[in-house]
Amino acid sequence: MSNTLNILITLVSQKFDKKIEDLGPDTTLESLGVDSLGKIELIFDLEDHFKVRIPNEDAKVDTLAEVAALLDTAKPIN
Amino acid sequence: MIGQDIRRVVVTGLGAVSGLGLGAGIQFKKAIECQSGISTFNAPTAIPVDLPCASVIQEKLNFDLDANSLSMFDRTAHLAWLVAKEALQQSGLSNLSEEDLDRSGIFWGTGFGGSTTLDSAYQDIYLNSKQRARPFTIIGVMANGSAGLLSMQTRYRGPSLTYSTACASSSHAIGEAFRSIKHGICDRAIAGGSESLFNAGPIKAWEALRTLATPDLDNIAGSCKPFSQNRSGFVLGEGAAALVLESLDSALNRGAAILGEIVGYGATTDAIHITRPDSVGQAKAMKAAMAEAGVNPFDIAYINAHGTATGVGDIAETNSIKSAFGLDAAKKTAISSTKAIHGHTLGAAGALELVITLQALHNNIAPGTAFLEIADPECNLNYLPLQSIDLNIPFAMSNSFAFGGSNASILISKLRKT
Repeated sequence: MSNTLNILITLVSQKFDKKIEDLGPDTTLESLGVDSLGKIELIFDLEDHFKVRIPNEDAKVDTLAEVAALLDTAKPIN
Repeated sequence: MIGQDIRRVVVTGLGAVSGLGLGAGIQFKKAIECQSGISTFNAPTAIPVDLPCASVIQEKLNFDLDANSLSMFDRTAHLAWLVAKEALQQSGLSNLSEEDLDRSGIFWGTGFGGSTTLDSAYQDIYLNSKQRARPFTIIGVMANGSAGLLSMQTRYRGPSLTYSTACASSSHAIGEAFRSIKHGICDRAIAGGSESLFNAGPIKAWEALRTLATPDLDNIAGSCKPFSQNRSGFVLGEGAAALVLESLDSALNRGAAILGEIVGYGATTDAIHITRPDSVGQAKAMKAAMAEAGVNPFDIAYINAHGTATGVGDIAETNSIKSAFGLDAAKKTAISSTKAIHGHTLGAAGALELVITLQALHNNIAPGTAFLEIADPECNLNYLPLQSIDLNIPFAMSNSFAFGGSNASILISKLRKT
């Protein structure tokens, strides 16, 4: 797994009170109880953590692997 | 169903929280003891403020909400659910059918809406150099956040409406809920209001308006002195209150305990000045409530006055009561302002004061006006200085008069036989 995905899984486990071993690249946000509003909040926090910005139109992700890939290709902020 | 018949509307549940404590019962207990919840204000704010005293909720509250609702909604909405839940528990309303849920409404009042959320967003941007506000800021700030949260918690799917008429917000909410049930638009409703604005921005704004009380340095708790010659303004308060209203048939069919009946509601507007109260408009609201109920002023034993302790406000209300009731009945009626002890909770004020008034009616005790030691000769009605009295109360009125010239009077009675 990529370093970003590992960090993401750690963050998600803390935020949603899940065990790390229960999370993986194919874990969906929906399975974590994250709805459309929750996704916006999650991406907001991830943007701050990874110091990146993700355009609204790119935020159509569902699995943790897709979120990690999005973060890896996102535009860094100064 | 709509408009086919006129139904009677009763109250079956009460909930409240304020600087006086948590629960509807404690509000009344402190009211009849004339015990104040006002104290020195020392809560942290983003920038220094000059607010010597306030009535702040002291308890650490358990809102019984999931983490998502706690982070998404403002404290104003959390307080709304807290008091609505208490009122629902007292009413015994639960397990409503899908059809009943469709005929259950929410009528809520707030003056400022999600003040804490807005102030937090401004702090992030203006003080903490953040480039953006948090995603849920709009949901927290919007005035109908409370109604939205209440609807999702209860699954009530009838009208969910928010009234923002400054200090009359929750009186209008309750009055409009009463009308909706009376005229068959819904069968039951949660009605009330919530306010929580002890944040730097709103406090600064209130400071600037010069309507807040000068602190009584000998007794901070007694800084708000309605109808007194030495009154100096109101004390800001935090709070929320809710009532469960339902049609008499609904309450009787399920064997609910009935706490009182709403029999009249008057809503008028001064249309003269944005802040200065007008006794003519106020009197019309009281008269409209009495006319709707078909009640003689001599039958109204107790009025919970708006009574903010401002110089012009208390005189205007004295004159409006005289005008609406006639001098003889006005002098005979027991009147008090409980803002002396719970402060002015703005959008929650009408509901909080009606919760106290309903218990006054139910228990036949009229709460006194605390800290009324030196009567103002221009406020020469029976304002129950310093002490509560035992009094048979067949009918009682609660007044709310707001900036914007919006007036609301609600008239309640014990359950009538006819």
